[in-house]
Amino acid sequence: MSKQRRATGLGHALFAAPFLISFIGLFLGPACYALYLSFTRYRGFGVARFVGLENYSVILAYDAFWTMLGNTLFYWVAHAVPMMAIALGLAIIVQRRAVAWTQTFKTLVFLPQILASVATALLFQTFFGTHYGLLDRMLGFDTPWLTDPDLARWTVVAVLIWRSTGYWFIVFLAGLTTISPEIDEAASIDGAGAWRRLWHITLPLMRPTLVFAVVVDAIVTLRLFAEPNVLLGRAGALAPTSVAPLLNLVVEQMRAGLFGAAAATGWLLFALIAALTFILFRLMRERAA
Amino acid sequence: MSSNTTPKSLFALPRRQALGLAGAALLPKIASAQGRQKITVWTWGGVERFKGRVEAFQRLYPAEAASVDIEIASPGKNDAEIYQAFRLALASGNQLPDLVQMNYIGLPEFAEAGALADLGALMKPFDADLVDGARKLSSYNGTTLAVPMQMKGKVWFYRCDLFEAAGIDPKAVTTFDDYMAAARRYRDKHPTSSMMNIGRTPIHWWYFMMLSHWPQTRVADRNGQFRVLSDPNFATVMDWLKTFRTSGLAFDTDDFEPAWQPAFAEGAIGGTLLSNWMTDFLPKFAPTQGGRWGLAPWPAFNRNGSEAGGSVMVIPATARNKEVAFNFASRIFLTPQGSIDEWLRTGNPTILRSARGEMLDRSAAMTRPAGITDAQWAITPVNFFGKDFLRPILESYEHFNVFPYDPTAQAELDIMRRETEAYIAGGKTREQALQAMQTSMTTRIGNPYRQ
Repeated sequence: MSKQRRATGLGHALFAAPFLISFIGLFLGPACYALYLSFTRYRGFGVARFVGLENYSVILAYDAFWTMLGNTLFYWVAHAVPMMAIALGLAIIVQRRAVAWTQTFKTLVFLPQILASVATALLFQTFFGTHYGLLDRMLGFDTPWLTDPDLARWTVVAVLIWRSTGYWFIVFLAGLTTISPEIDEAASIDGAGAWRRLWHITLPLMRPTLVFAVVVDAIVTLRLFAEPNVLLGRAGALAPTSVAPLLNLVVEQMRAGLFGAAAATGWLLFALIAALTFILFRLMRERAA
Repeated sequence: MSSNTTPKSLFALPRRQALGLAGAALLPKIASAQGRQKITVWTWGGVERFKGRVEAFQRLYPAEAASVDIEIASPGKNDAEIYQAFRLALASGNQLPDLVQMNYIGLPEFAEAGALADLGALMKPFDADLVDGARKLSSYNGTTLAVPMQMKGKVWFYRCDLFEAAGIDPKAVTTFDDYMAAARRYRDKHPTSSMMNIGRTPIHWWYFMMLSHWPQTRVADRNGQFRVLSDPNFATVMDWLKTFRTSGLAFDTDDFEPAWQPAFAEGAIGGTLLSNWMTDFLPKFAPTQGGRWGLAPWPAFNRNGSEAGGSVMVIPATARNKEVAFNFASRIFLTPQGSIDEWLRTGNPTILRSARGEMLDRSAAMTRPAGITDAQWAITPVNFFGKDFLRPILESYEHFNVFPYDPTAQAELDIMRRETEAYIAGGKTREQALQAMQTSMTTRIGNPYRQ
């Protein structure tokens, strides 16, 4: 190997080193350790006792795991569909200059995104509060928005939509700017109406952005924690099982000193996210083909 | 439980005996002899209360405080997060605090692992002055491991005016049926108010609070056998909670849910079975209701016990400055002047026999201090509840009992709550819920006493 090639290789390695070191030290290392812990009973200190696959089998047989998994999938599906539609719709409205004051409009739509998720949840807690919440007081109802599990799940969905729409609105707006206006103009001259142009030009060309949005939003939502717990938990306790996301089981087990079980649940969650991401990519790619 | 992990250099027998014999008077000499020392104290929910304790230490014991730097940290917003942070510190061996505040419910896990210093010798000079409940709080399985700081007795808060109008005498309520009959009478008289509150997810502290009434009840024995199915008291507590919920006589919210506080303020809740720390919250919840609230021990059907035992300070077995840390904690909580000062600052009633008289006298003679606003005076417990408000709290201490928590109490509580909520909601029968509890504990926790 020539001296120059060696120097180039060293340069590449040096450039990659910060990422590699942080990736190995802060992600891969802890992930491998968590994988090892998932086969043990461990209280967070002292001796870790090897128990094989016991943690996994116990969790999979635990009905709360399936309840929380169901809740998590519900939160994802129930918020993703309307949220994507709203965000894309708003982006199209702004791109086509269907509203005045577009800069102000963009800022207003994006505003919820800059609020801390905990602050957002507290805000909605005041709004949806049973008996004394703003909504109940305005409507003169006494609806248990935050305590009836069937309603409480939808309040979490409302928070998620409100909070994440602004972010995806900006992403979609950026995606729309990559579509040449000439294509749209040509279709318009050919007599295509607004809906046909949206359906046959805008959406197909936006597919890569949409795939990215759906996958990333799925990953974020499957790891949901703050919103349902701040909104529906109280006095230091997490949200009740009937409305809890899957990450609650991880946190609950860590709080209880069941680190092996927490690690196993974390890996099950990882497997779920990986599988779902793979399926979504495949589905989107097949549809594109 | 093992105490072999205590480093010999710090707790060698001659010193321990010497400390035990000489008592607290010797402690400042040790600190000053070793030069200026630093201790770290962990508490939850912010550092303000402990800053007040540090100021009190400096004010009451200036000579001792002069040689100690005290750093207060709050690595969690509640006790569960403190246990989590403490586990991580123990695992890494780094940045171990010298003093950790815990609720007694968290202590067994660390005690069984030998992670706490044996304070037997250091506590000996103070033992005789501790009230019985506080002494229970300081020990685990026969070993003294904690400095007791706050007893959480079972206190019933009720609206005197509304109870009187409904013809309810709290003292006459003794059985569970009496309690429900009183709730019915209360509702009949006050259609828009309730004598209690409960939502779909009963607050977590009620479980062990109610179970702590029976001294023989425990979740698991030391062989690791869970007793949820064999001990009928678990079923009893589940039935009580379900009856509260389904009676239609309770305000539909759980403690610390958003509706809880305004419900007190608007008079929709006229009573609550809770702990003495509620004296700190209730005046702030309903500041205009001063003079209308009374206190009593819980009704006889579940009068004994405590809420999570109470708060204690523990010293890690591998802490660097154990003696200095103990000296600070003991000065604040175990000396009459420190204890009275603590009560005046925080409202925590003294846990010392020798300070009770002074506390009651000062409470009875208390007048509005100079320099406080009307609003501040309105929510001062002695003004809000009346000059005699400490007596029912002290009476609740007479029935104080610490539940024999397992090292996995938090995991057990999570399982109990989950299954009880299913039972209350009608998703499971009582027997199904109890069976599920027993199975979940056995499979998920295993033997709580096995490391």
